[in-house]
Amino acid sequence: MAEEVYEKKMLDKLSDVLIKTLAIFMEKIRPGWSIRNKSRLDEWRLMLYALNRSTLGLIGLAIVLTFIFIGVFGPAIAPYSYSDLLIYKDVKYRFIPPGGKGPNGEIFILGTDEWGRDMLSLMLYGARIPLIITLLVMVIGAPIGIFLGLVAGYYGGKVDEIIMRITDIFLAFPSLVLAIGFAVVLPDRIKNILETNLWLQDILLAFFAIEPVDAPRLANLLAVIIAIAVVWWPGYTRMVRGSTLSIKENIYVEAARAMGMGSLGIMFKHILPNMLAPLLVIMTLDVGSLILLEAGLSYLGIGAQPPLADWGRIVYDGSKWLYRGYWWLSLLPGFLILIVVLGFNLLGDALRDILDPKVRRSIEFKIKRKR
Amino acid sequence: MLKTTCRPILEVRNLYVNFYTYAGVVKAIDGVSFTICEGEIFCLVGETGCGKSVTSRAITKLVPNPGKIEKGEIIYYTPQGKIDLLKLSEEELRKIRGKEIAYIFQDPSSALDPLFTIGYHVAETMVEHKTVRNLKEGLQKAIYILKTVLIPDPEKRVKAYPHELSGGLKQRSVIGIGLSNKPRIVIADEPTSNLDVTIQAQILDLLKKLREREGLTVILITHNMGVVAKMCDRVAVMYAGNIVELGPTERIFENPLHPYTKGLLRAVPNPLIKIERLESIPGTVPNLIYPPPGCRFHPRCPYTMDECKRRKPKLIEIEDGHYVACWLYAG
Repeated sequence: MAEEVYEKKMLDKLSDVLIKTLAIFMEKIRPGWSIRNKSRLDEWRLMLYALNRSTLGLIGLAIVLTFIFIGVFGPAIAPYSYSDLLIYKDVKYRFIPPGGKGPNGEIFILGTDEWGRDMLSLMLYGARIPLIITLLVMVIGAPIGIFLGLVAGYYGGKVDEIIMRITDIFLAFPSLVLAIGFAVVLPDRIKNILETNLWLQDILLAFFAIEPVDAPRLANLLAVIIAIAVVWWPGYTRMVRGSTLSIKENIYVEAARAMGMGSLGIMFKHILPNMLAPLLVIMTLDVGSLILLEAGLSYLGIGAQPPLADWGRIVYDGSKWLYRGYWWLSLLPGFLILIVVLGFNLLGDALRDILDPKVRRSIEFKIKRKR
Repeated sequence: MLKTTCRPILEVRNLYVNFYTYAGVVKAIDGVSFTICEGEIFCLVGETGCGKSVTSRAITKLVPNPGKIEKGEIIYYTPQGKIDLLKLSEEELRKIRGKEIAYIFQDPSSALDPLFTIGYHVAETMVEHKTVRNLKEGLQKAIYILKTVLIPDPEKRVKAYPHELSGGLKQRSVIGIGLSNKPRIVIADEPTSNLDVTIQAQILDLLKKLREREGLTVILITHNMGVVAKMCDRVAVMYAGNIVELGPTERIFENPLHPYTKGLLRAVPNPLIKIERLESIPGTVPNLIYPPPGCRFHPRCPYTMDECKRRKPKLIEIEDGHYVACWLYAG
C-alpha cells in the first residue's frame, strides 16, 4: 500500500480557525484557559479532522443542524402561521400543488393543504414539536435509565435483579402500545394541572410555538412526552448496566474503593465518564428512532391534535387525500422525517469513529509524518 | 524481629473467606491468623491463587464478588483502643480505608483512571477524607506528595494523564496516592511485578525509605523470594488458603521447616544458600472447591504421613517467633 499522507483539506483549515476562535474566546472569559486546556483543544481539533474525513458524517451533521435550525427558528421565518386557514378568504387556496399560484398571484413553493394552509409554513412549524419532544424525552428518560443502569451494575446482586426484572417488564411491552396506553390515559389529568397553573401553560405555549387558542391541545403533547419517556429508559438501563459491569472490573474502580471513596462518587466520577463515548453514540442514534416514534404516535392520532403542525400528524391528515392525487400533503413531511432520521443515524455512526481515540491518534500520526 | 519489642497494630484471627461460584463454594481462605507489629515490613508469600491478595483485601472488607468473609476477626489497634474491622459498617470502614489503611495496587497502568490527571487522583482521596479543604488545595499538596515518592519535576507531572507516564512513574504515583493521607498501614499488593528489574529495585528502595521516614507499617504481598529477602522483617508463607510457615525472614531462609517452604526456596535462586540446581514442586495447586482433607499440601508433599490426610495441622512455635503448620514437627 502506498504511504498514506494526511493532506489538509479546506474543512480542516476551517476547523483550525474554529478551534483558534474558541481558544481566544475562552481566554477572554477566563485568562489562562487555553494554556491549561491545550491538550483538550488539540483533541477537539483532531475530532473535527476525523469528522471532516467522513463525508456521510458531514452530511448527517448538516441535516441535524438544519433540523435544529428549523426547529428553533422555523416558526419565526414561516411566511404564514399554521392557523392561517386561507380557504376562508378564497376557496381557490385549497390544494394548490407545489410551485402553484394562488388566486392573488402568490407563489406557494410547497403548495397548500385542504384548509389552504401554506405547506412550507407547516413544514417549518412542524419541526418544533418533534425537536422539543425528543429533547425532553432525552432529558427526562435517558438520565433515569442511566442512573438505574449504574446502580444495577455497580451494586449487583438483589438490587441488580430487581431493577433488571422491572426493566425486562417494560421491555416486554411493545413500546408503541405502551405509549399509546399512557397517551390515552394521561391528557385529562395534565389538562387539569395546566388549567390551574397558567404561567406553566404560557411558557409551554411559547416553547411549542402554539397560539393561545390551541392551549387545550398542549395536554396531548405533554402526554406523548411522558409516554415516550416512560418507554424509553429501559434501553439505557440495559446498555449502561452492561458497560458498568465491565468498567467496574477495572482496578482503578477497586482502587477508588480501597482509598475510601463512596459508591455514588465512584459511579459518577469513575464509571459514568468512562462510558460517555458509546453512550453519546447511542443517544444520537436514538434521536432518530424517537422522532420516528413521535411521528408514529402523531400518525395514530395520539400526539399533536389538528390544527397543530407536526410532521407525523400532517402525514396522517394528508393520507386521506393521497388517492385523489394530492401527493404533496403526505409525501413532503414523510420525506422530511426520512431525511432527518437518516441524518441522525449518519451522525451517530460518524460519532463512533470520532470518539474513538485510535482514529484520532492515527490522524495525528499522519499529520506529523507529513512535516 | 523479637517478640518482646512487637507492638501489634493489626491482628488477623481465624479468617475464613469463601467464594460462591457456579461451580461450587471455593474455600479460598481457611483459618488464617497472624499479627503485624508496628513499623515492620510483613510479607505474604505464596503461589498464584493461594489467597495472599484475598487475605489483604479482607482486612478492609474489600473481598471481590462473589466472595464472602465467613468468620474471623481483624483487630486494628488504634491509640484509642482496639477495633474489629469486620464488625464496622460500610460507612465507618470508608473512613479507615485510605486514611488509616491504604492499598497500593499491582498493575499501575490500570489502577489509574485514564480520564483524570495524576494530581486529581492524589487530591481526590485527600478531599474524600477531608485532609484538605478543597480540590485546589489538594492539587497543591499533591505536588509535595509526588516529590516525596521521588517523581522528578512534580509540578509538571501533577497535570499529566496516566498515559503520559512510564510504568515506574505510574507505580510511584500509585504509591503517592496510597500515602496521600498519611496512613498507618500500607498494603502493597505485588507493587513491582509489572515493572522492569531496575525500576523494581527503585520502587522497593522507595518503600523502605518511606517506612523509615513516615513510620509506616507495610504489608507486602509478593511471589518473589528475592523481594522477600531484600525487604521483609517477617514472612508468612501461604499455601492454598493457609499459612504454613511464619517467622523472621532470616530464619525462614536459613532454616525452612515446612516442606512447601523448602520446595519454594529450592525453586528460586536463594540469595543466602548456594544450591546446584533449581527444583520444582511436583503437582499443581489443589482445587479449592474440594480441598484435600487434612493438610492441604499433602498430595504434593514428599513427607506425607497418615496423619496429614486425616487432620489439619495447627501453627506451632518451633523456635523464637518461628511458627510452622506441619505434622513433621508436631511430634
